[in-house]
Amino acid sequence: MPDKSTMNDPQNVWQNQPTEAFKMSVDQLRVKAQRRQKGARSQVLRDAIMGPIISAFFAWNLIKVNHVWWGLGHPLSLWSTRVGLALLSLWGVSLPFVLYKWVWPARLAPDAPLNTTLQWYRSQLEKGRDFERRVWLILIPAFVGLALVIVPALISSIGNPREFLQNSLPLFALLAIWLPIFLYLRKRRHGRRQKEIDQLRAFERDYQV
Amino acid sequence: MAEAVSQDSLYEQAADTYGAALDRLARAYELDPEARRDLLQEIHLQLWYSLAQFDQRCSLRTWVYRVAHNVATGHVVRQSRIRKGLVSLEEVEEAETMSGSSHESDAAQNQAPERISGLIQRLKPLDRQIIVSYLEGMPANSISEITGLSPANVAMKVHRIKNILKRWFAEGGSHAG
Repeated sequence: MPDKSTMNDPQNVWQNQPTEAFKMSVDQLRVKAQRRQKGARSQVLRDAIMGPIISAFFAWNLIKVNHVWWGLGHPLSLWSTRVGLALLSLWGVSLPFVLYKWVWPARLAPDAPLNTTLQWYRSQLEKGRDFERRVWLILIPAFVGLALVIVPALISSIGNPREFLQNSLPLFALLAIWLPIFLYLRKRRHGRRQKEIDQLRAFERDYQV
Repeated sequence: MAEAVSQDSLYEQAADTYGAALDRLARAYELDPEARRDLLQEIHLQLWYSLAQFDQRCSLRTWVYRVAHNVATGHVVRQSRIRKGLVSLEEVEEAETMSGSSHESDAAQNQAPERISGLIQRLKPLDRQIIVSYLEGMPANSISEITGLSPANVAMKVHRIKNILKRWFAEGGSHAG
């Protein structure tokens, strides 16, 4: 029977509660750390490769544009398509840098005090929020490039309404589906992020006792 | 290689000395047993990682607690299910004083460590760090070192914690968490 005075001492009660004998061996820790590093490395690789692939795809089409692309009789159409493809190719090259700047998390010292930890989490959330706000700016070169490639083909088919519809309908249908979903999801994510940022700010305010 | 050996041996030392305390710390941050085990694993992993940078400018104990609280705070901050409705020590104290009467206690609340865990899990991150450190028997200057708060602020918070816990224990488990 435990002593009553001991039972009434919160520190004693807390320190004498049953605990699990949990310990990881150094080998287990190494395996876990290696697995995590491998995951992080493949993520970096994916991000780094995606841009050059996009860039190479558009660059390849830029080389072939003279003889493969649809009835580009007018020299202006040809140049518009070339500029569009070049823009898309450059955009592809810049993508890994943009992702690195906006998505890659900053480092946090392992023994950082609470306010630094909270600030770090908040800054990561703010970074994500700002990325979503500016996503249009990042997408503008891609949209302009696509427009420069697609619009000449659409213009060239204006004389033939059936062909015009055939050429434009899938694109506009896709845009009409994608845009509202994208805007809705963006608004929802933004709301959630802002709520989290506000909660973290409240925690930080508590810290300034 | 020497660094790795030192990192490994420091981890062994830390896990042997503070393993039980880390388990209690995880209990203070996560109620769900499975999530708690994940949290505990993460604490151990981050502790091992961090010990490569341990420069002995503070004691090993302070370092271990700083890293552990850091990981556990990250856990709280990332999970909105835990983060919702957290209160400060001041709010708990005020509510206790205002209500005066006791709440009905359930079986779990009659178990003192669970009741303390229940109280801790309602608290905001900073207050959690202080109450856990206090319950682990740390002096105010160590708590101040871990949290980065001034010793005066720590003393004030600890005074509040003592008041709340004293009332709880004096009333024999009748106050709900």
